[in-house]
Amino acid sequence: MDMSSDGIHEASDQQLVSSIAEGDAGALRVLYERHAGWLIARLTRRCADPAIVDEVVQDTFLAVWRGARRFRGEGEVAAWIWGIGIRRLLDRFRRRRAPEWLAGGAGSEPSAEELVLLGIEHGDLAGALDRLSPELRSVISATVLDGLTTREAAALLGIPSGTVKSRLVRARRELREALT
Amino acid sequence: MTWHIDDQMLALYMDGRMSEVPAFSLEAHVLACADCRRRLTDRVDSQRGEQIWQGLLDSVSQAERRPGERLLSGLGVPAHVARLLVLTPSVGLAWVLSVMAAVAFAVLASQGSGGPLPFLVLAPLLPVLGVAVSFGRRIDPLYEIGIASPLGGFRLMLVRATAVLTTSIVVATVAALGLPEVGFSAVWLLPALFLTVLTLILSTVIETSSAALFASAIWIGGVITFEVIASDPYIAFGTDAQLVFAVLAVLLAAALIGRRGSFEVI
Repeated sequence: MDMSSDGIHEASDQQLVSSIAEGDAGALRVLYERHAGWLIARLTRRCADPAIVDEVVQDTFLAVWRGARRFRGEGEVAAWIWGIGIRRLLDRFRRRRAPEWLAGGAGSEPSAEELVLLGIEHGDLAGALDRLSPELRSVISATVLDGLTTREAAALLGIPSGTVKSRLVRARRELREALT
Repeated sequence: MTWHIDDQMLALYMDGRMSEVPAFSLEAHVLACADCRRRLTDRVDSQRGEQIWQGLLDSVSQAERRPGERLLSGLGVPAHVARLLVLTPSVGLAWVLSVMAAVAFAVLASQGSGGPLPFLVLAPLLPVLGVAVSFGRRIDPLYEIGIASPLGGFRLMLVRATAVLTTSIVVATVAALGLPEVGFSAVWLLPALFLTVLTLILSTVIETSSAALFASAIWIGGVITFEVIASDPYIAFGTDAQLVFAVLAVLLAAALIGRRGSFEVI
């Protein structure tokens, strides 16, 4: 589909991806402008080395360019991009067996202001998540939040897949108990 | 959705000071909310994004280079010339294969009592056919790009003609090894050069395919004439004829340079 230069900025992410699938480099540029920034920020929380983050962002959009045809058309394009990005980062770590992975956030204890901010909507869940041990929380983070499979999460965290599964079961049980 | 990320949270997140659980919320929300994605993006150094984009452009064009292009670049051929050569039909694999097939038949035909004449007649025509295939309006898929190329029409023509001559000469030289009478002697080389330049200069006046046809007719007609008049078709490959071909090739090349302007608007 041929979009005028005005129309392309109005296009939805899904429309951009289907234009990219037809080889429209202009659509890739617009998609990049929309999504590269937050991807850099989110990857930076997981990898302290900015050079690696930059490479991963570049790889991710190269994969988007080549693989746009594989996007199924429904669903959030941002989630699709993140799925590619986190796996590219994972590949980097596998190749280097690098210790740069930042398993958790900076401070282990949330500040009071953060709790207030979250409390508006998430109330108990935030508290319950916080009371999980760091091991259980990292498994939840890798699977639920980053969308990795059990095996990918295992590679990421450097533990066997079986351990990931059992920790997930335990984490879910603890959360359920805390929320009911 | 009523819940959005405020500046305070953004600042904590970007500084890496936000703890895990609030970060969970923020990251999950960012995937679903274009507004908050934009506000997060605004806090990322745009120059950094621009640098990554340039790298991305490079790797996109790198990925689209064909194997032959990469090989030529590795040999020191400038990138734009390499692309042009790869996209020139007469340098393509299909062309080389059909030339090899034609030459193989000529070599076979030359094994008979008639001697190497079929090969010697065909070999100089290879670059002429190559020029016909890789220049001109009708058969060249790159015709439009060719005129708009930064190389300019004349240099573009030289690059392509060189490529055509090189592939033809390589194929013919290898094939000649199958003929003991010809072997390493390059008696077909000067006629080939002459006919190529003749085709090129004719193509400034008529269409390239007609020019190639005309040059081929002159060549085949000439060999037949020698056969009829002197009953020796090999005169075309004798020392005197070689000298004539050399002189003619130089004269025509000079004329071609004189007409270089006509290549700018084919």
